[in-house]
Amino acid sequence: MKEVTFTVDGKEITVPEGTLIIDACEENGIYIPRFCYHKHLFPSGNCRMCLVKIEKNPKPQPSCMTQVSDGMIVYTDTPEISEMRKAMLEFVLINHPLDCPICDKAGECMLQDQYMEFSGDKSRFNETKVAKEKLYHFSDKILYDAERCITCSRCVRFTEEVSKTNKLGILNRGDTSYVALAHGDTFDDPYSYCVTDICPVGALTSKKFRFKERVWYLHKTESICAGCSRGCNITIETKDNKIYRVRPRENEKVNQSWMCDFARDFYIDPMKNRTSGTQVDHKNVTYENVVGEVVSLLKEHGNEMTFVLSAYATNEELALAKQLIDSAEVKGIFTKPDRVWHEGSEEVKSDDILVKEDKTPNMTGIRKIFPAAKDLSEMIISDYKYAFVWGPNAAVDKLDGLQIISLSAMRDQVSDKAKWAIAGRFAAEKHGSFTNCDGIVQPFRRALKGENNYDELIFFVGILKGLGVEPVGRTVEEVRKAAE
Amino acid sequence: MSYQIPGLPDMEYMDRQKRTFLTQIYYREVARGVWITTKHFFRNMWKWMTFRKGGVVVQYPEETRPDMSPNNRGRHVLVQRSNGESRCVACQMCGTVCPAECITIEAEESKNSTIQRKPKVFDIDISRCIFCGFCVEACPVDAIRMLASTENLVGYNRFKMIYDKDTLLNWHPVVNDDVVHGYNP
Ligand code: SF4
Ligand code: SF4
Ligand code: SF4
Ligand code: SF4
Ligand code: FES
Repeated sequence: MKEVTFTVDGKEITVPEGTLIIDACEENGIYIPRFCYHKHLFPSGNCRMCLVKIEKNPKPQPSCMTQVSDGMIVYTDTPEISEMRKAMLEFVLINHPLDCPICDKAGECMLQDQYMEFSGDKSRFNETKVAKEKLYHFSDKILYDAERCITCSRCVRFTEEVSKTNKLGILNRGDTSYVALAHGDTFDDPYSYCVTDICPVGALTSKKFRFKERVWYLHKTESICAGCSRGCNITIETKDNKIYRVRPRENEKVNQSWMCDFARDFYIDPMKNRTSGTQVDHKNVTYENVVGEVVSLLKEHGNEMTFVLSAYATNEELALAKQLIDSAEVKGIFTKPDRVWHEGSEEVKSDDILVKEDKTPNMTGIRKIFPAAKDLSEMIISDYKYAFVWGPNAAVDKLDGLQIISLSAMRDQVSDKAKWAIAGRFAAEKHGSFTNCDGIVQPFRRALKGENNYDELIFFVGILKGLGVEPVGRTVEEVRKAAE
Repeated sequence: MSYQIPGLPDMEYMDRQKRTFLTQIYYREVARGVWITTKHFFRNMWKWMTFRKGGVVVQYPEETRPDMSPNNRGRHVLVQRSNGESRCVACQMCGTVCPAECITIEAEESKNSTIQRKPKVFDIDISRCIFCGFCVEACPVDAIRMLASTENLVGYNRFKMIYDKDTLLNWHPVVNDDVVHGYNP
């Protein structure tokens, strides 16, 4: 691709042809304030916050609409430009309600931030502000406050370009304009929470997060969504070991800046049917006890055992499981879908935006590490006496007559039936990595503490040591290093 | 709390005494403690006998000092609206600014749609409060104030010193419906 060189504030910058000035500057450490421009939406140039001075151009130009050309000389910090920014902020703030104390966006609001950075002027507006609808229920997920809206049209462009539902539009002109749905419509869009992230102000807010916690108290952990095999990059925001919200993290190759609504609710809703502790014959026993029993089982009956893998397992756990299977000479290795799409559920089965039909995060990882693994439905029961079932949702009638060892975070028929039951952890409760549908390996970090003081990795390390095998690593980092 | 200020260096906030042989054998330190106590006892005794100020401490809470400044920052009150509800909108500004981290607030939806947000829980742990008054300054809607009085800020255990919303609203009701700061949500 052709490269062009231009100058910003006396600094020479070379970027590919066709780059917008706003992007070229940001990549090189010069932040140009903006409201309407979003990296993954088509620029619309309506807020005029991003004006810059371009030499030989009589008027300032919006940098989000102007492509870089060779030899262009751009100024972003002249007194004239900073006056313009102040004037734009004053315009925006004329009818802005200053709801910050009761606004869920406060703390991460672009209007607050840019006002503090680029203006700081006192209000000169003594007239009455225009009053508009403050509680406009777009759907049972999204609430709209017309007074806070700065009509940047990001949300409208999102429904046009990304989710393609075309639900939102802007009505009226000037200070009476607001975002609206068609009459009698509701904003049911499988990606609707994304508009609350891209809204630069607190006009669109999530009802689930409404008044739950102030954003500056939330601890952010980088994670990977376990909702489907796309593996969207997400940030899990927690406080006191509780998830308050989940937001997408930017990744050009996987999910750009989006994620589906289902996964957000999936993380926030308290998980039901969790397993806890370790049981043998439905009696609580110590963890060491169970490890000991499983080790002796593997030693004596390894060749009569089948191993059913979980597609929620991380790559590191799978590596240790492989070591275990090899050293105990376990015979049959099977996989199963850990979560299936139910007819009539609100979740999207699959679409060509993000959601994939495979609802587990790491089936690609299993395929890579265990190329020989077959589907559970192909199992012939008479070959085995014991089944090591990892993860939920195994078809229980497929395991009739087998003695079951269950390692699962979710209670289901299999873990209830199991002779040896060990509670596991969810993706949000452990470190690890998933391989997504396109084969991209994505590491994630633990966001929640988790109930049990062990996780699957530690469990496998314990078993390997019991079998007299040196595990390739005892922590996620060590296993990852050994796999390289 | 999960909120951290990045980039702050690790600092020693106390002048720690060096551990030497003399401080390790505790007889010397015990003797030093007894000496300090005795010194103060006789000094105060002398002040009392010569009728000077500062001889005897105030027997709080039975007595309070008569020479307290009218600007003293004493106990907190939550200001009421005329219908008896709190003016507070549970914005957490006070809880954020509080250096002792002693304010706990949980917000909920108000039935009044022009107010929208109100506190469900508003606790001040008075045993941790350092009476700095930052919370009063931070409040955008003048919902929290401090009285000059320091009467009866006592409790037999530390849980009795966590004052909840009802106590703070009612122990000295202040009703104020004025728009004090430009915007009154
Ligand atoms: S959108 Fe931003 S500036 Fe407006 S009320 Fe909310 S936090 Fe304040
Ligand atoms: S609701 Fe938010 S994103 Fe939509 S136009 Fe208004 S300010 Fe922009
Ligand atoms: S007076 Fe200071 S320490 Fe006490 S509650 Fe207010 S801010 Fe916190
Ligand atoms: S600062 Fe004022 S309005 Fe905000 S939570 Fe504290 S008392 Fe309530
Ligand atoms: S960001 Fe360029 S005009 Fe809005």
